[in-house]
Amino acid sequence: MLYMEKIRCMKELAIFSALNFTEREKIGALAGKKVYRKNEYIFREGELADTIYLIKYGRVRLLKISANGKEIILDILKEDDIFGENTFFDDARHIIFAQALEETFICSCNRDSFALLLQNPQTSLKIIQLLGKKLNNYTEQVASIAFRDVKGRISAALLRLADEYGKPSPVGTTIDIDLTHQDVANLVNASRVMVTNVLSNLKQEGAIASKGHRLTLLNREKLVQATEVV
Amino acid sequence: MDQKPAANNKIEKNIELVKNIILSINTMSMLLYEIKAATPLGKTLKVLINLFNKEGKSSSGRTINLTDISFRHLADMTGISGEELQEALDCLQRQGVIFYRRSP
Repeated sequence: MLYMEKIRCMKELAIFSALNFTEREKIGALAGKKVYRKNEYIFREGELADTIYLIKYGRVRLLKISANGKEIILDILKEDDIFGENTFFDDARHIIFAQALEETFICSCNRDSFALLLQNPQTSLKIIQLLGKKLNNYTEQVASIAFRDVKGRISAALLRLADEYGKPSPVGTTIDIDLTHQDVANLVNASRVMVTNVLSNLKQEGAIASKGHRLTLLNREKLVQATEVV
Repeated sequence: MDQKPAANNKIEKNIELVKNIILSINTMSMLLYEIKAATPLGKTLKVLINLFNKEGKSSSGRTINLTDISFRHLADMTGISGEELQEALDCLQRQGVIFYRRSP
C-alpha cells in the first residue's frame, strides 16, 4: 500500500508526466514522502543538502534570517515546484531555510536518484525549465528592488503572485494564498507601514480589493502602470 | 551505429547544464538576500545596477562598462565606508558579477 502510495505521489507530479509506468515505478521505489505541518521547517540553513524536494500540494517559503533577526523571504513555492537543488553538489549545505506555509505534502529523493531522472530527456527539460524559471524570478526581484519604488515593487509582486497562485473570481483574480501585510513587506523589502499605506492607495484607486488575508486584483492595467520604471 | 555514447553525452550535458543553472540560482539568491537585507554588499549592488543602467556603455552586447567612477563618490552614494565598499566589490568580483580595476 505504501509502495503504491509512493507511485501515486511521484507519478502525479507534472514534472514526471513524460515518464512511462516502468520509469515511474523506478522513481516510486526511490521516493520519500512526508506531510509537513504549517510553519514546520523542511530544512534549515547550514544543514547537509542531501535531498531534493518536490511539492505535491501546499506552499513552502524559502527564506534567510538577517544578522538582526529579520526574516528575508526569497520565494514562495507551490505544487509541482522543486527545491533543495543544492543537493546536486557533493558535501553541499543548504544556504536557506525552507518552511511550510500550510499543511504541505512533499515527495523527496536523494542526489543519485535525481540524477537518474535526468536520463529521461523530457523530464530533464522540465527540470531545466523549472530551475530556469526560479533563476528568472530571483533576477526579476533583484531588478525590481533596484529600479522600482515601493508601490512599483508591491504591484510587481502582486502581479507575479496572481500569475502563480491566481484563481478567477467574479471581479478579478484572487491570489489564493494568505498574505499578511508583513508577508508582503518581507517579500518586497519594505516596511509593514509602507505596505499598509500602498495597499490602501491601491484599493482606493480600484486596483485591488481584500478580504481577510486574501487579495484580489481588480484592475491589472493599473498595477502594470505602477511597475513601470520612471 | 551505436547511439549509446551520443545519448550518454547528452545526459552528461544536461547534468552539466543543471549544475550551472543551480550555481547561478545560488549566486542570484545570495544577491537577492543581500539587497533585501540592505547589507553593505546589497547597497553597493543596488547603486551599481542603477549606475550601469543610467551611465553604462554596452560592449559587444554582453557586458556593460562603467568608467571613471570615483571610489570615494561611490562609497558616499552607497552610504557605506571605503572598507565596506572594497569588500563588497571584491565579493561581487569573486562571484563573477562584475570585474573592476582601481587606478592607483
